[in-house]
Amino acid sequence: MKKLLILALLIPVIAFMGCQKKEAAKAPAAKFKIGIVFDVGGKGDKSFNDSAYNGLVSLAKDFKGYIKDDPANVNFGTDVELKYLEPKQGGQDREQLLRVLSEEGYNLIFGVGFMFTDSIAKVAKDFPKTHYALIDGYVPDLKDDSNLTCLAFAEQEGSFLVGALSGLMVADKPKAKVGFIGGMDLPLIHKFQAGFIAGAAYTDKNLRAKGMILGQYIGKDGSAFNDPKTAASIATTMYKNGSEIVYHAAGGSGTGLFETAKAAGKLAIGVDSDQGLGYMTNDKDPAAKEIGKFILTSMLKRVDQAVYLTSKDLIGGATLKGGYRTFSLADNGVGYALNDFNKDKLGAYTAKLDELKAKIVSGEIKVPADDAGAADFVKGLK
Amino acid sequence: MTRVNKYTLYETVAPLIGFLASMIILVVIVIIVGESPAKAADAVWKMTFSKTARVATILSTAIPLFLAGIAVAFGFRAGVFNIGVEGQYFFGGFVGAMAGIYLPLPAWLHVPSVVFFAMIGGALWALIPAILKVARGIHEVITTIMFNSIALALVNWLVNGPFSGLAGKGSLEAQTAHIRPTAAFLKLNAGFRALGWDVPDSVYLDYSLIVAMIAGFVVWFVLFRLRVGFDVRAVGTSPDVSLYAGIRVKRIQLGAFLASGALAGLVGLQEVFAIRGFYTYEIASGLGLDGIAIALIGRNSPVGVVFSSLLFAFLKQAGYGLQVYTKVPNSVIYVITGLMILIIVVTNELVSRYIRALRKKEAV
Repeated sequence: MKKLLILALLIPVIAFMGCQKKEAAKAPAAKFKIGIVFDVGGKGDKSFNDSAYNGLVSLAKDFKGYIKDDPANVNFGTDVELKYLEPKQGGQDREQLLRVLSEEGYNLIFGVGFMFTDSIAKVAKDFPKTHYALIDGYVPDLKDDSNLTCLAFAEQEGSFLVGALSGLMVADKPKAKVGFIGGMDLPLIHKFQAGFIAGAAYTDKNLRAKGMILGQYIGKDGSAFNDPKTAASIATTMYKNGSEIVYHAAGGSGTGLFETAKAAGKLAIGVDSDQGLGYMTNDKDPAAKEIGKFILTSMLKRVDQAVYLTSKDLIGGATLKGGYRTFSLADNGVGYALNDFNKDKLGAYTAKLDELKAKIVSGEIKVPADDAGAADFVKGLK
Repeated sequence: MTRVNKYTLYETVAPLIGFLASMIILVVIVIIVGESPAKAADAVWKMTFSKTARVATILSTAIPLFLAGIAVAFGFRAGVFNIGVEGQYFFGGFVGAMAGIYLPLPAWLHVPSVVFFAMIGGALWALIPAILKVARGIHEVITTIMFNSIALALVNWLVNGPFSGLAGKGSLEAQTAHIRPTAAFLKLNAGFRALGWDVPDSVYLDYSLIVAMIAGFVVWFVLFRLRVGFDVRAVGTSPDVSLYAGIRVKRIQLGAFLASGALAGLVGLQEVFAIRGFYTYEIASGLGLDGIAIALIGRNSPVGVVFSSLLFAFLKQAGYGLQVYTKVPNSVIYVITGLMILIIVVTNELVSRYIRALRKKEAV
């Protein structure tokens, strides 16, 4: 027993002593330090977190920076230090991670996702010299001189483009319909729907008639974002009623739509991240690739752009403005997914979509953001 | 007499050995991952003991862990395997939050009453498995695990549906309305500073610390100073002998089960009333399961659970330290903390078997 004890005591001591390497000569301190705390799910979620990570990679490339402690060894210089962290769960650890980054002297700290709303507001108060950015969340009463910026996306503009794409694809079939499935019935999700309706009606006049663009919401509560079964049954009805393409803004429920699309042999459009690419590059599940073929494209919220552009301002020497910032088509904050797998399908339409994008950016087309606006928009087309 | 002292020595040393063994594992894994152990040790140090704020954070993190541990431990003492602490604190926290949102009371009454309602909620959630066990002999491990899933689904629905406080806000995070300021668990940090412990305001040392201390004391008092506590321990040691001795075993088990549930109801208080100020089903999960390991390591004694919950809190913080200051990947950190817990539990068990064997030898 005693011997065991002594042994147990000695091993770590020896191990520590044996490994006391001299730290390499300290690298020159970075001029800017930018930190990100990911949403639950962490790196590799093929969604917001990965997109945010890509933003870090482009920052490193363009501004001679490196991502600290990253297994992928992204290193282009020492001017900008980038670091990401990942919370486990609970309200305390998000706050703690934000706080640690603040104490370590990071100049700009991102919280990815609305789950950070409370914690980032609290931490921002305690570190007035650090700037914070909340992606896709909303903190009320911010001003230009606040040290917190809420980064939002013009979802209706991205939705307009995928709607326009749907319209273009079914324009030669007068009886073909298109559909929209929303998750929880919130004003936010109606933004997606309004953009989609406007886009589809804009490019295909057959769709301007009543009842040609179907729309349904899964539910009134948060579980609607994680209810693939209901999404599947709605999608089945939509496809049976003549829809050729169905677009969803329903988070995790979207898988139900995709599976139904494959079963029906029709097309679906994903949301937020490049969901088609996610399915096509899933090597673990052979069935995933089969489903991926039926995902036409996805409406993208470019978290990477939000991270990149906000950080770029900081590195450029500008004082970051607090308050609210919306990323739109104009700054590539939203868009549609074009990847190796769907470029053949979309090839014929990209020119037209670019033209529409230019019109939206120039203000020639004003994309509606609610139901009433969408109805007026469609009326105005006649 | 000296023999007995030797045994207690072994018992106290056991978790320490486990801890050291787990540190070795940590070092080995860190080397495999390609990080220098010195840097890892430094990272752990920075996040745990380098500053008053960090030490205080360990204490703060230990509060819900302690409550979960003591809830499980009280059940274990009566031979009740309450795996349902998880569900009980989700539901208890919700009931407490309701009392915090809808009861118009002055602060001096509101805070104790939300504690009370949280306990009632936790006990209520334990009631059906308890009755099923006592009346029908259905094993509580199965029923409480099922009830965990039910509780999660139920609070998910309640928070999203009838008690949603989202209306008209930009946030999508499902949550209830905000609790009244009278029910808020205020921080005790200023008090600690007055006592000479320089805790910054950002650390959550709130009323839940007092709740945990009172709960720990009451459990100790009931178990070791009251007659009913003796009955509880007797039932836990051997239900058959207790029955023979005239103890009403079923009643004791029912009571212990409900008490365990009531204690579990307290676990979520810190997050709901001190940290967030509203209830969401997104509050930290998994504490109930941590509680089982904490109770095991703490040998089901209130004092032991104090130490084991602090140890768990330390491990959690150490994990964050590795994440923040080293390149050990996150998934590996989960593996490390998991392994450390496993090793501590196993060494603990091995040592108690060793002691049992020694005792048997002696008896012969």
